[in-house]
Amino acid sequence: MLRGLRIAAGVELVSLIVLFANLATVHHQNVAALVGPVHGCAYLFVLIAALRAAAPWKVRLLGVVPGVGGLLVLRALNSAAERAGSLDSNA
Amino acid sequence: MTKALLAIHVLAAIIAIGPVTVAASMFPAAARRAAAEPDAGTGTLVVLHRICQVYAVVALAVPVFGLATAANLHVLGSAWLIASIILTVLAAAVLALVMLPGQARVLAAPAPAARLAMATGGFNLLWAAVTVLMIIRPGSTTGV
Repeated sequence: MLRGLRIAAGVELVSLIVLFANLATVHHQNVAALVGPVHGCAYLFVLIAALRAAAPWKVRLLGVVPGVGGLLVLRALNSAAERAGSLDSNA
Repeated sequence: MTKALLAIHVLAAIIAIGPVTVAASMFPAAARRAAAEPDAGTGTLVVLHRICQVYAVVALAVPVFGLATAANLHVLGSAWLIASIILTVLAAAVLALVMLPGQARVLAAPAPAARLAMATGGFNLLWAAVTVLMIIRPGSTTGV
């Protein structure tokens, strides 16, 4: 699930950047029609993967943030894992 | 562009929802066998549950691209489409709230699962109804 979250988080951000870049420049209808649903899928996937993650609610709800939610969840999960790792090495 | 969206929508429906219906249908029978022979282990059940779980998430692409196709065709207000959206929501609710938790319970303690089998049958029926609605499109004026 974590690998899926990593892929979806990247797709979520990149597709949003493509959508905004398209909106600001050529505003091609076909690009919006195709990349829009891709972004929607990535967002929903991130949302569900984040809600199902074994983490506190504060971390899981980060998935709701548009665009960078997936990356925020991954960062929070990584820092939690690192903290757990350093605790283990101290013990 | 509508054709590309429709192609992705149909492809996602075949690839994602097909495995869920097959694996979910096999699950109750496998649960019965696992309960009858506790020594055989729960390997099959684990795989079937995993297929349902993973492809249920992949299946999210089906309504997303379906809605995009419908918006492109300007048919979002059609009765046949609204009916199939309602049936799809019902099917998704049965899958996420009844079938997947029910399968997880059986995995924890293998036992015959009659109610799970009934829910699975209902899910398959809902999807069959949506598929038929998508083909017949009662009241549609766009041909076929």
